[in-house]
Amino acid sequence: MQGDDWVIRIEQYHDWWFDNAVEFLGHLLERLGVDVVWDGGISFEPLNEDEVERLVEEIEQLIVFKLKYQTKEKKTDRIIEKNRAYLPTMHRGKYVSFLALKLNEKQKNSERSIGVRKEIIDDITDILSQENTNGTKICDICGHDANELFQVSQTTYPVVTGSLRSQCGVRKMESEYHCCALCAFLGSIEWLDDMPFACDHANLTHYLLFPKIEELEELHAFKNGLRGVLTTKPYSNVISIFESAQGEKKEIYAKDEYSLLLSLLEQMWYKIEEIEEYESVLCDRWIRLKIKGMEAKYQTKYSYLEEIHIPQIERFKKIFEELLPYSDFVSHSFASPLKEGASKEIIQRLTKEDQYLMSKGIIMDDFKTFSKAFQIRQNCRLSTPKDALDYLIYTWRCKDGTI
Amino acid sequence: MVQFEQNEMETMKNSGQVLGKVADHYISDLYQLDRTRTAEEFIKQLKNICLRAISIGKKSDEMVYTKPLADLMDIINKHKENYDEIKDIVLVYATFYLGAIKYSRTRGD
Repeated sequence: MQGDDWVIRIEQYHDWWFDNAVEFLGHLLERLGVDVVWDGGISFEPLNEDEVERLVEEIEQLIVFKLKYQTKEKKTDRIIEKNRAYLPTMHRGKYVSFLALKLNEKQKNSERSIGVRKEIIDDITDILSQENTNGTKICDICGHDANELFQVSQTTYPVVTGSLRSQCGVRKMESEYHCCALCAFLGSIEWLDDMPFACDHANLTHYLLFPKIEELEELHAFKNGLRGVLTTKPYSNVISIFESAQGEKKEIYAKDEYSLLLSLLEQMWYKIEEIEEYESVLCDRWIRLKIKGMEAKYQTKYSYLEEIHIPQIERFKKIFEELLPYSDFVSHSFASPLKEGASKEIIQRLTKEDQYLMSKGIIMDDFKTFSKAFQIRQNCRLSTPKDALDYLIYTWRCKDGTI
Repeated sequence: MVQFEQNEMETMKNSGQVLGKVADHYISDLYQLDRTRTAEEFIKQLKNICLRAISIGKKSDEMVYTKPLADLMDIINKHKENYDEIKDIVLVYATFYLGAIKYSRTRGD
């Protein structure tokens, strides 16, 4: 952190996770009515205690809102509240690191928890002020001086490696990373950001997408548009509506990263089409974070990172004008047995694989991958809507792009 | 990626329809077509399928026109270096039409 006497400045990190986190903090501050200047970072006037308290309140509300969802218990049919499992958001018994304690309603009003809360507010006031910046230790993430360092866990940075000691059994070879309070704070709150996500709950896998835009101001403008299209459903926040032949409406969500991205682009297109700002909708670089978890009680998580660069994103304009590839085509395609005897599990697995291949092919402009979905496997073929298939192939592969 | 002319696309689509019909009787022909590695192999297998289509026409009341496959061979000769892309499009349509035939039969039953 640096700046003159009156302005707090947080520089951009040029890293997908922390840049999104800086943007998210700026967004939260704007929601509290704080003036934020976006210029290669964020700048704002020092916050008073009341503003910090409101910021903490806002974050606490988001924890409940984002990390929990309601579902029906199978045995009793009761509606119960569950944690959005498998995200590494619990650290040492607290949600999103040191920010908020896992407390029930009774404990919330106890003297101890009020004391802890005060401590948290004081910590954040310190973090977001000019104090304590001349320490003797150096943060591994931002490189600035700090008085106190925190160990970097997956809560702070989702793809951080563990210690070398735990990986190869060699003692005294520890490569544990440590960061300053500001980085720990930013890393922790980023889990609450408005990012498109989908959960393949059968495989306990989460997919999260992060836009990769170099200019923070542009990133902020894009994410504001993004926030408008996200919903708050249990297994994904990007939902398409499926209308059956009987006119029955059903919500559908993607179960892999490419279907999620395709579905998201469609939703953004559909909403922003009204204001005709096409360019702002089409972000062609994304970071995909895949978290493969286990049951929530186990702490081991596997996280994988991949950059998705969509080639020639402008081609979607032409496709979207007539067809929504995910809602009208991919989501209506399913594996169908050629002979009797295929089990339900095989059909479900092949449907998922085929949808992944089709979405990936469309997103990456790769017809070969797309065509793999049509291969007959395990006596099952792919069933797709004919008109949509014709339209898609002709716009994709025909010179003048018409049927 | 090669962009094709409108009439070439039509030919590929119609070829897919013929291949779907043949695959309904002889699914291994479709697998073999998928397995081809060169334009020459692909054309050779298309010729086999043409013969198969004629024999299907003789055995049953159903006529299978093989003209689209002959036209397809011309297109492959024109785009020899990118025959793989033609193969992908044709196979997508072939599988689609095979599925449609199977589906309509189960509906009929």
